[in-house]
Amino acid sequence: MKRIFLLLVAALSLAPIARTASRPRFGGTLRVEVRGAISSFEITDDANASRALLRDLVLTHVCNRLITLNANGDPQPSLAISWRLERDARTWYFVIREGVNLQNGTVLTTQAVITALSAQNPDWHARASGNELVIQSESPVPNILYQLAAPHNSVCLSGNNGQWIGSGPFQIGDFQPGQQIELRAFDDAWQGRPFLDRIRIQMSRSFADQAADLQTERADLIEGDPMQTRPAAAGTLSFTEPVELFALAFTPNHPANADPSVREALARSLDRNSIHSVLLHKQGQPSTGLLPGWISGYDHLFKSTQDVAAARQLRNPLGSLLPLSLNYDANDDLARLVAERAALNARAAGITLQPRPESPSFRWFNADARLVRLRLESPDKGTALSKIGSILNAPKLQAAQSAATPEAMFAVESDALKDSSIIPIAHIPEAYIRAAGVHDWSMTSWGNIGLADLWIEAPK
Amino acid sequence: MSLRTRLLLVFGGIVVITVALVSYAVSVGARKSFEKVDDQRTAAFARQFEREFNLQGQDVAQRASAIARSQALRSMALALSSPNGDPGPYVNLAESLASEQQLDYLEILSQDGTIISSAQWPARFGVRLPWVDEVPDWNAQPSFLEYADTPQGAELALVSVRTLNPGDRKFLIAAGRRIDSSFLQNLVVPKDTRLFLWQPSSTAGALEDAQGPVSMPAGLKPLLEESLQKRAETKRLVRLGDSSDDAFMAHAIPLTGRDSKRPLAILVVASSRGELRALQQQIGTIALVVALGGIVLSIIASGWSAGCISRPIEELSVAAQDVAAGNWERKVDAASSNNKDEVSQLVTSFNQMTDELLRQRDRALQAERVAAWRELARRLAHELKNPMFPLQITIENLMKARQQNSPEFDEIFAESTSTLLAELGNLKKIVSRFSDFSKMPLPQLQRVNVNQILEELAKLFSPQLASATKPIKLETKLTSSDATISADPELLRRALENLVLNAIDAMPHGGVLRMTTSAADGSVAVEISDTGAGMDAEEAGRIFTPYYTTKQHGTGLGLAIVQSVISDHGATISVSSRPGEGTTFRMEFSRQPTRQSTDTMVGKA
Repeated sequence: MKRIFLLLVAALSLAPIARTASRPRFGGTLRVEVRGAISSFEITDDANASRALLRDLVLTHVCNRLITLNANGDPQPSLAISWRLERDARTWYFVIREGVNLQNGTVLTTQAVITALSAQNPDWHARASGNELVIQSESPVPNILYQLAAPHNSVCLSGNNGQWIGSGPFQIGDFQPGQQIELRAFDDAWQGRPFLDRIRIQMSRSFADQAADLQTERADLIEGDPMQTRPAAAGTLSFTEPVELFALAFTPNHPANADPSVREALARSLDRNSIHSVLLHKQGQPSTGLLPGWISGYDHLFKSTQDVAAARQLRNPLGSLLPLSLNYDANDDLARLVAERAALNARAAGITLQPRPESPSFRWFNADARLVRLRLESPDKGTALSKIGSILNAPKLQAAQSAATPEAMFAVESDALKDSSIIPIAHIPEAYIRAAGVHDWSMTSWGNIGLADLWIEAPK
Repeated sequence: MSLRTRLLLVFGGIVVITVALVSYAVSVGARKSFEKVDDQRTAAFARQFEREFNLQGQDVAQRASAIARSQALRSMALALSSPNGDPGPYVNLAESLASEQQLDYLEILSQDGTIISSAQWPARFGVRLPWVDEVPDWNAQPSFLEYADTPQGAELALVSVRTLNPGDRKFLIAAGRRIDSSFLQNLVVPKDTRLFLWQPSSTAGALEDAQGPVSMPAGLKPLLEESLQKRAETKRLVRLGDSSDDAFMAHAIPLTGRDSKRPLAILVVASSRGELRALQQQIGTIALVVALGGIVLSIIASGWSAGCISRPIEELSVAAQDVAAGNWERKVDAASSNNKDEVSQLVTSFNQMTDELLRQRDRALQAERVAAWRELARRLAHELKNPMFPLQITIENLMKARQQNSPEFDEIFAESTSTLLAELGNLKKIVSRFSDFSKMPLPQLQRVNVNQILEELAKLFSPQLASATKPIKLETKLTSSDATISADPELLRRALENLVLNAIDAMPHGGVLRMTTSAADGSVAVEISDTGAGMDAEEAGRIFTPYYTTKQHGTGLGLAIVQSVISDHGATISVSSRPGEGTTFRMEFSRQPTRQSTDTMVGKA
């Protein structure tokens, strides 16, 4: 009896605390730190994963899309409340949500949607038909829903100073190019006002600096180093699936790249396993395909074994070769290590690869190849492949938009990789560390973060 | 070339050659001294370099040992000592340890030389370095030079290798510090000395000095390659630039690695030759000044010595010329030379010689006078004897006629007296000519223009020559220069007139009579020439003998008188003739009056 009484007392005393901890709180500023930096509001193809991550983060919360994907990756209505297709997916009809307020005080119109989508998809023919948006394409687009769910198809208008104006839960406040961007809650968002008052994003912060700021409670949410299995700072670590692609991309029509034997020899010389096990600390996976296994399901069909002898056999008949230049992001230490390792592997095959750091303030022109670190913005195969093709200027990959089956998708990807203009190396995940006071965190497996539902505890 | 000039050249040459030899010797000596000092300086610098090298090497070795003892490395070694030890997490360990120990290079190697972690090239994990087996005990090995592989290529490094032995496994730590311009900055470089480091095997093949990479001077490359090939210290004079101040004596010192075989780098110590060059220039300038001074002194010395030696000789020379010109009474002052040397003896001998010449001349003159009187007496006797015989015959005929009381006595008397008077007239003429010849007056010298006299003669004889049955052409070619001489105008005129008359007599069939004057620096020449029959050499030699004549008329004293007049003027007369080609009489008068004429010269207004 006494025992039961004591238990009841303990439960009652803890109840307020539990109630307090689980109840969302409006207000507060979420302090986010990232490595990437943006200087303008442009929706462009970006081969820099950290910059793409930041851009996608801002786009997702400032502008809505017609379609969103749930945690399972299934299309969900957003600005489009319903849809239908005709003519083997060559024509799509979308009913646009009405009464959607934009952050400039106006209401979203179908024409605004058309303008936004046409800028990113020149092959589509979009038009308004009553309250429907009609999108037509000469070739079938079976995965249009996934494409419309991708960040680059966010419905954004351009404000007076070039800033994005959308219908998302946050609107752009203070912007210091390359340094900081502040998102303020949009009270009239059609989805409802978010819990947070602000999201303040510090740009160009290294992993070490981010970890230190989280440790000293100057940041609430940071990027984590995916190579560190244990977080360097106190907090909760979350990993995505491997959504970033490390690859060597050769400059099209470059004289040094005229002979495919060189590229193939280079591809054969790469020791992906050592890169994965040592440099990547066994995070992610070594890859010879553009899509990770968790998206494509057929990555095992691409061979990934290093074969230096075969590489030499391909290279030796070529005689003397000029050194090939390999550009990499100067701000990415991991990219530097991967580039140097690739150069070392190439040297074993008799190919001289010269890594060169590149930054926005210092760009090498006329590089033979680049080490790219791309961010896959969609779990959909076709959407991801077509985006890779757009970023790397590989037209063959645009056929992925029309591929309806995995076999067709595999054929498209194989065809694009056949001439070794793109040499995948590895897929790595992204990681985030959040402070203890951050609640209702949500993140999809492909790295889509939902900050609209996130709330933070009041400062003590 | 005069004695004075020769002495000057000799003295000057001696001075210049001596100064040149001395300055050359000094210059060579200075250069050798500089080279010796340069060698010593280079050796001292090499010792400094070696000392700094050893200090840095000890420092690197200590840091490598510190890393080997560090907790981080021990933890790694323990983790990797287990069978499933994963080197992956330690791929960046070397970079952090190198940063702590301020090392440029650090590689952590497993027992077989496989790179576990590389600070300078993190991506190089897994690469095996074969040289780890070459030394059994790395902990006893001092630091050494080696090329470190980096993504940018090979770089020269001072490397030390230490080992860590946890349990039965061994790990190696290869630590290093870059050897480049920053290493050179730690060295104290003497003034006017330049330091270079050449790394032939580095990717850039760079030549560096204390300030960083420099372009390879063209003159330095051969020295470096020679030192590299010979694997020994080499020195050479090189030019490190375009100006003359860029000459350096460069010593190339090869720096070898652990195996001491192949040079890994070349240290160049280049000492400027600017100071030596400046010194040599200074020596040259001083030599030039001394040489010029010596030449001036030579001039003075030669002048003085020439004065001491050559003046008496010059006096002798002038006196000899005077004597040769006829002034046999010329003497040289014996007081101008020392009494006992050869020159004074020569002077005394000269004076004796001239005295003897005078005595001989007097004797010769006396003998000549006697001979002349004898000749004159002979001539006179010969000339007088001719008219005497007809006188005697005539008087004998007259006496005979009177004795015979010849009826033709009156006729005979008249004829005889006529003959006597004629012969007496001849005798009187002969005596008169003789008297004239013997009483030839001394010339009264005046300044006389010879051209003027000849012009007057030409004017006098022109009508006669033109109107002759066989005309004689008169040509005058008178010099435009000054033809004034010291002469007795009347005597000269008579002499020249005599010659003109002789020339006319020599051309009974006509011809050309030429009167010519020419002037030289100290004389005036007069020529009277004809185009008559001429004469042979024997006749020409006797033509001036008194009473010698080839003409039907005349006394034979005309040319003798002409010669006497010319001689009294201190001039000379000569004749040149060839049979059939005419005859030319040439007289040469000195412009300056003769000694005799000086005494009797009369000034002319």
